[in-house]
Amino acid sequence: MAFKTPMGRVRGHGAARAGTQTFWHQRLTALALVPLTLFFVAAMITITGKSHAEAAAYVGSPLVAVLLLAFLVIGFYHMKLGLAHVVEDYVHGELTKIGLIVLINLGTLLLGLACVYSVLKLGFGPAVSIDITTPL
Amino acid sequence: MAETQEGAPRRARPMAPHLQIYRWKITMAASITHRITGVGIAIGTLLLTCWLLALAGGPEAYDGIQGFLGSWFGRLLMFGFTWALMYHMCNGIRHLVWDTGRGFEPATADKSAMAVIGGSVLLTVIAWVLAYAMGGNG
Repeated sequence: MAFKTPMGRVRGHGAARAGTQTFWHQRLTALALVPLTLFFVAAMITITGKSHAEAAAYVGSPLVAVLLLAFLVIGFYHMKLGLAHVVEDYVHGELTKIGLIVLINLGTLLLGLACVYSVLKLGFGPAVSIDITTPL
Repeated sequence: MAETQEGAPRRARPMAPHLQIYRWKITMAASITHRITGVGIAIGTLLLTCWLLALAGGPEAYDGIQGFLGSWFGRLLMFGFTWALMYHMCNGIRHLVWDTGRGFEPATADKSAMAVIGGSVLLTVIAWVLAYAMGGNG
């Protein structure tokens, strides 16, 4: 880094200091989400009308779980970029804008974690109900 | 740059016409619908998260959420979610084609907007016909 000229350090990075990374990530995730969205809809159709045990076994089966995790992780990241983009375009008060973007970042992270945890739980073992009121 | 020098009087410069005076075009509708469906999908994701948590939570939680999703209101939400996903996906493909520099001619853009609207409705109907054929309980 020390050997770069000041011009070389800023070239291509723009006012946000992050260059075109956001633009590029939005396109990459969009491309990945085309087949993954079709898979997600197909998976939801397959589950329609199934019992809890059947649905849990289906979502927890390796291929479905991995593709669903890809859909969720890439989808939540795409959603975070898109929602932040909408806020950046329409919200002009600096404090409100930053507040909303922080909320979007934390909110999508939390929802994404909840979804990923659920799929992993279904993949790694059947749901076991434990009565926590019973003394050991 | 003489006009922008400090101390120069601010003159009323001609401005671009305000957005609202333009005749409404299908490409404009397709564009704003892309954003609306994007935000709509984000809201629908709350429902998806609840559903996955319930599925991982066990039969009782799952029956609870399935009861809600099976109601007319639940089905309406899921139908809207399906269409929003399909629209955003189809129009997203349109945007990716634009990113390669193709399809910007007005006639082409109008046609691709029509294709996106038609295609998203068709895909949504196909998904729901298949879902009802599978077992029908939403």
